[in-house]
Amino acid sequence: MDEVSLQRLGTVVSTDKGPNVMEFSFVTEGGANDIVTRRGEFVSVVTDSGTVIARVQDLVQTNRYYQQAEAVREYQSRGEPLRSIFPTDRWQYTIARARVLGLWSDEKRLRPYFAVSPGAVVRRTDDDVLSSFLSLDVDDGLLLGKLSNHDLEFTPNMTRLLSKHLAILAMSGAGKSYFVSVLLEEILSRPKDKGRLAVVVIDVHGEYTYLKNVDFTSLGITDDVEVEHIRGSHFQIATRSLSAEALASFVSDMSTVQQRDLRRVLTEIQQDSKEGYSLIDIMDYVREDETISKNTKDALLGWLMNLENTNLFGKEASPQTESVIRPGKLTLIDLSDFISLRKKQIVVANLVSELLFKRRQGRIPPFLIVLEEAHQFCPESRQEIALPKSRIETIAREGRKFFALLCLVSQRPVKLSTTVLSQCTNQAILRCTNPYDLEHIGRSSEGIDKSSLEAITTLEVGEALFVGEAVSVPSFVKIRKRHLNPEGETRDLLRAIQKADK
Amino acid sequence: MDQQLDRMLALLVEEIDRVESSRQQFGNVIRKIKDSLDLGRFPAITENTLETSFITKIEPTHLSGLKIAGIDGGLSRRSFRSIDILLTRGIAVIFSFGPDEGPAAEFYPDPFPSPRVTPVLYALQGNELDQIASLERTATELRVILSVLDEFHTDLILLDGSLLNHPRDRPPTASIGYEKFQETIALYKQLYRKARKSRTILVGIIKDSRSTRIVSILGEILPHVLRNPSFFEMMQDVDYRWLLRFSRDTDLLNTFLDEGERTFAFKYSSEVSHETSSLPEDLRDWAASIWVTYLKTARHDYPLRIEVFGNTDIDEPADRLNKALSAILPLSWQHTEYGLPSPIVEADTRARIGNNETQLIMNRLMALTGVRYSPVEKRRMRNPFGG
Repeated sequence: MDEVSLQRLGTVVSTDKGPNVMEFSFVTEGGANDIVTRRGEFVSVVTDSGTVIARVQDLVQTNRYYQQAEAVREYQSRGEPLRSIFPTDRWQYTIARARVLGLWSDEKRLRPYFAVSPGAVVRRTDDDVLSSFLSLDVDDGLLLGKLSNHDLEFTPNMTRLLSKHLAILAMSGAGKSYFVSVLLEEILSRPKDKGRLAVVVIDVHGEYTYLKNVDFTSLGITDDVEVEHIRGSHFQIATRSLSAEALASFVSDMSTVQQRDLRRVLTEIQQDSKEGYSLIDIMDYVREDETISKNTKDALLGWLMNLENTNLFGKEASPQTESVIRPGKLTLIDLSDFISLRKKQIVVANLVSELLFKRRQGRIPPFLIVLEEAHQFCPESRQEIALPKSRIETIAREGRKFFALLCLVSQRPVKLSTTVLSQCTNQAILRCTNPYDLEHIGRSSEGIDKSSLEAITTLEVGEALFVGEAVSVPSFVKIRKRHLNPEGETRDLLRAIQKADK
Repeated sequence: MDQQLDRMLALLVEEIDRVESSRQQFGNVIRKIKDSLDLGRFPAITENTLETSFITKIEPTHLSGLKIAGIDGGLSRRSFRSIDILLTRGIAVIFSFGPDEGPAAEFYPDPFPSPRVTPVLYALQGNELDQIASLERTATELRVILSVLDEFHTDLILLDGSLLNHPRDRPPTASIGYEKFQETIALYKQLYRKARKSRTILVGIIKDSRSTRIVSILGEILPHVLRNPSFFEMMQDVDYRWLLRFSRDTDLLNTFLDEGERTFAFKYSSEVSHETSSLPEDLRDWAASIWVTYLKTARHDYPLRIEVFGNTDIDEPADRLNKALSAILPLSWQHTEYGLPSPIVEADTRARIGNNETQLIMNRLMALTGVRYSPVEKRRMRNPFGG
């Protein structure tokens, strides 16, 4: 590719601050109203030592006729604009401020170590160079969209994107679920010979239920894609699989003495009941055990009754994890039936724990858990109930060693556990305007710079900032249209009330 | 020391107050009688004026359909070892006013032309070099005007500066600069000849005139005018003779001209005879074709001295003058404290050769000559401690 043939965008100018190693400014070419370059666009300067790749951080329009407020005020005092007697448009020009991201030399990305020269020509960056520079995987990556301001497909390598967990963060309505749908399409459409990932989606609002009815062949794949939809109300935890500590984790403040008594009861019942038992059976054992003090007995019975009332516990587990988690299969755990956050948390806590346990033992294949509304399950605050928090933190810390992968989705990053968030080496951040959320994102993302952080508030719906190992520098991406769409879904209020009022 | 300085300043303030209040009083009187001032009573004066009324009101015209050029030149000087280097730039901005908002602009030769570099290979005295530099800039401007007359059919050409060579820029015949002077005078004559054949009105706009022609005329007529008892009564407390001794035209006119008013126009040639150093003989005739007036363009700015080249072959000088001023007025009146026509403002901005640009050229010259370190700048400019 002949670099010099790329479109000229402008010329580097000297300013008080630069050009320096990390920054330069350039005057754009074209007319007063031409948009030659855009904020966020990658630009390049060809030098003898390689191509300096930079990104436009900001654009400033300037016009000497409008620099003096007093003069403008005076000239317009007769009611005529300055433009009526001056060719003001001829003095309008744009200065783009660009931040240097790296040096591309001999097919390698190097740290910048010199400043570009004033007068150097700034050009659009060649797509092939940019793709390599960003570490995109053109042949085998996940096609998630297009790079903003470029006609370059955004295809991050799946290993780099998912192997150290992914967080999808955005305000409500910014396109998180849509992006998850696109991600699922890409993961599920991988051919068998390239290896497929098992995916479990904790679907808090039932947003992905449509996937059980769609025709995956429209994605152009020949291998079967299996989708299993499991309603929360059908979910059952095998009581015999639970230790006293596990049961204690579902309730609050169980003392060590109470746990010790419960452990003893469980040991007894496990010896007596080889075919399994229910919480009612445990309660009977507790009642009959004369060694347990009255106070402990009352407390244990209260807690067990409480758990029993959730209808989540039984003699057998449903579904059986080994049969559900299979390569290329999507399992939707639909929790939209549950109003109680505690019930949702019990399901998630148990599922996460069991998946990691079985994956450690090699009884299930590598998998990805997509956890919607992640802040509900692993909140930062200690005040909030968070039954699955420690288990999610465990999978965040240790899961990658066993290819037990997390994809956390949250609309309140500030409420999400910092421990978990910092373990997600990749983040896809969509539009977010809450200053507390932004601050939290800034603190927990190592690769994000101030300018990119500021740009998050201005992202369009469906546009995301990718930060982390998947891309060598933070990159803005317009998420592609999903190929599989829910039918009959009404997202528009007016249509919904019209439909309801028929 | 401080007390002494304060005393001196206090005396100066007193003097300034006296001058200002006298000038204001003088202006108040003239403002009342200006419409009654009739120059017709003074044939020696009207011999060189366009009209007998002291003041004329100018009606602004609509700019739509007019094509107006503004021309200016820029000058910068540097020394490079023993060589003095002159950088000059002439530019024309041509505004075409249409029905739409704002003028369409064209530029000659370019929107941002490179400066012309002229070396002076003589060891000259400072004032001699000043003259050559000024003549070089004037010549550059004149070449641009000539080209605009040829290539653009403009209604008006506004030159930033006088239509005649400034007497200060006339080197002695033995001077090195005399050749440049002759070249410039030849360009002037070429311009006048061309302007005479053209319908384009040639106008010189003088920003900060130091002329005293109107003051001297006032000095001539006031003793007669004040014979009128009512006028005398008004002026009796004003020491106008004292005031006229050190006032310039614009200082006095600013006290009584209203926005949109111009003074009577007089022949440039009548002013030249009052100068100690005069024009070359062959320009004197042309000086009689140039009419000079002062127009108050902005409420809080000094009047502009405006020179209009009269072309009797085409129309009456008065019509020509008023036609030009009726377009200049709406081009200048928007800023109440800066009454300069917009084409001149634009041309001035583009013609100016700033320090940065000069330095760039000098750096380039150093690079091309291979001079690594050279005291090319004067010592006072390169004090190692700045300042």
